[in-house]
Amino acid sequence: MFLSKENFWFVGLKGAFRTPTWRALFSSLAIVFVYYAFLYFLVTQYVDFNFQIPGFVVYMLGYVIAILFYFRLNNSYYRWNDGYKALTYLRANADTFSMKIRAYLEDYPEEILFLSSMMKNYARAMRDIVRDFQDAKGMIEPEKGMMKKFENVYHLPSRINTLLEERINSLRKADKLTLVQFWDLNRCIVRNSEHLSSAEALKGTPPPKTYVMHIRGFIISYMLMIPFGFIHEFEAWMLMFLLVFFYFYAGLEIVSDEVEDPFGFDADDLPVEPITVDLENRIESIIKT
Amino acid sequence: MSEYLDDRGKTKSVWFAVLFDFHRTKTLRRLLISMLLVGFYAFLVDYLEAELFHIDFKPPSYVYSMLGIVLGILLVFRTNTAYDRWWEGRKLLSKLGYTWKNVAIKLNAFLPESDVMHRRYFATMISNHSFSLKESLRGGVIVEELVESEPGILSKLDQLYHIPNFFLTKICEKINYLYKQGVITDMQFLELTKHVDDTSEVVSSCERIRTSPIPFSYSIHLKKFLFAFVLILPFGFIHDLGYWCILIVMLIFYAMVGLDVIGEEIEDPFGQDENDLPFDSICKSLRKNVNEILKV
Repeated sequence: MFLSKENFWFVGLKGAFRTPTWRALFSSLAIVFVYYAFLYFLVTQYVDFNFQIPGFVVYMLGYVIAILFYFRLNNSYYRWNDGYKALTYLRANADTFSMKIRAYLEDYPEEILFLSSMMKNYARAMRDIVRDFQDAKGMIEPEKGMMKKFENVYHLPSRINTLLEERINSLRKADKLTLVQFWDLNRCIVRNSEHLSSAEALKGTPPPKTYVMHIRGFIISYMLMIPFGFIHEFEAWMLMFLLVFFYFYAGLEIVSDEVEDPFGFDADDLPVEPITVDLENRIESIIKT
Repeated sequence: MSEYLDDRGKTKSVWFAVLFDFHRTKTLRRLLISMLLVGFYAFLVDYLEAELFHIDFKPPSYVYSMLGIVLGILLVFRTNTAYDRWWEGRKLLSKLGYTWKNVAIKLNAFLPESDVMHRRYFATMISNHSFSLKESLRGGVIVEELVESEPGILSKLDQLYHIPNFFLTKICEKINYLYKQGVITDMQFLELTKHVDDTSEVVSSCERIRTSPIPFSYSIHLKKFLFAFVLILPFGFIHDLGYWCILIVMLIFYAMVGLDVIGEEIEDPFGQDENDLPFDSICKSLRKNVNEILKV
């Protein structure tokens, strides 16, 4: 019990070499290494630099960089979290929608089937569109001949919502739904677009480029400058140290970069596919049991 | 000795009472082995340096303060997001509580006093929903906590894909049934169905908190950073402190890595540890409340 994995912090380090930071930083590390090696060569063999950047400058800039990191990480994390929220709210909405159609349209099983398949289609369309494509073929056919209504559409989720709304409206006209039931179901359909557009906002608008570039420029110039803080005690050890620092500093930037666009196919991206599958299973279990 | 009475006669623990309870904290238990290993590492570095190699390798102290700031900020971020999730979980549970209480208050007004059957039905279904949500977040179901509101309803729970949704569906159906029967009016119906959406949002959001730890690349980067920091740590002290540096390295390790461990501890708040949310008692008090409101 005491010797369990939980009580052994170093176990958490497994997988340390599987992260994207290594790949993304490899070339930058090589460049910084070459620069440091060149500087070392220069200092030990030829040039006698007689200036040394005082320690407090290096220290002070470190402060600023740390705060910038916090800001950047925080922003990226909350973007990631908001993406997750959009997906889970859509799932909640699909749940209530299916519960309601199951109760309200008890006597019309074909309508339940149609509406629930359309809800699944909406989730699929959202899954695809946040990953930058649309796939009309991947939709479920809710009724015979519906498939061609999904083809050649500019924005598939809107088309699905349109079809849903048309159907609810005609159900109301045919008096299969009462006025308040119609009202209630409409609320759910409206909420679909709300959650989709918050996901699309994350997808389509990365944080301003200038500010990301500024942080990167800051890190690089900082790393290039640091050796001059040690110039009188220049040792090969120190340079290896600095290389490791560089890995950790720039790595944080890479991590933020990974996290800030949460939809995609990377290991760190949101489990969009499993959530969609879960949503479909839940709809299925609600309308079948 | 570690407790005193304040102005209002409330028992409070003295600030340093933590010293007496220190050995019982979970962080210490989880970190003890690792701390000993780090202490051994510091000893090894010290020994090799002092007895064998005599390398004059001493990074300037501001290197450590520089790294320390960045690490400190990263750890703040770690605890902050973990706490944020913990607190969001707590807020969601409040939302679950007040939503169901509001439903009960409305039902109490809408349903006739004599309709004990439906009152009892809703009261049991509401408590079934919250209890099953609790257990489904912990990955199972405890049938003994649930009440059989209609015959046979609990018999096939283990075949269901999602149990809280099952109970919510039943509630939704019953509201619709009452509406169709003319027991409640259409506006009353709308007032009730509104809350079904809220509850469903709570369920889905709690599941989000449970299934999404902080992004892996971030947590592993932080761990690597901490590890590297601890590796170079002894070199800063050995020249000045000799073997005393073992203690200092262990202390710094505990302080810094402890935060990481706490972050891990609190980011999934729905378990049964001492640091998790009091979900059981929230469910129980909700059940009492709803029963009282619906007078069953």
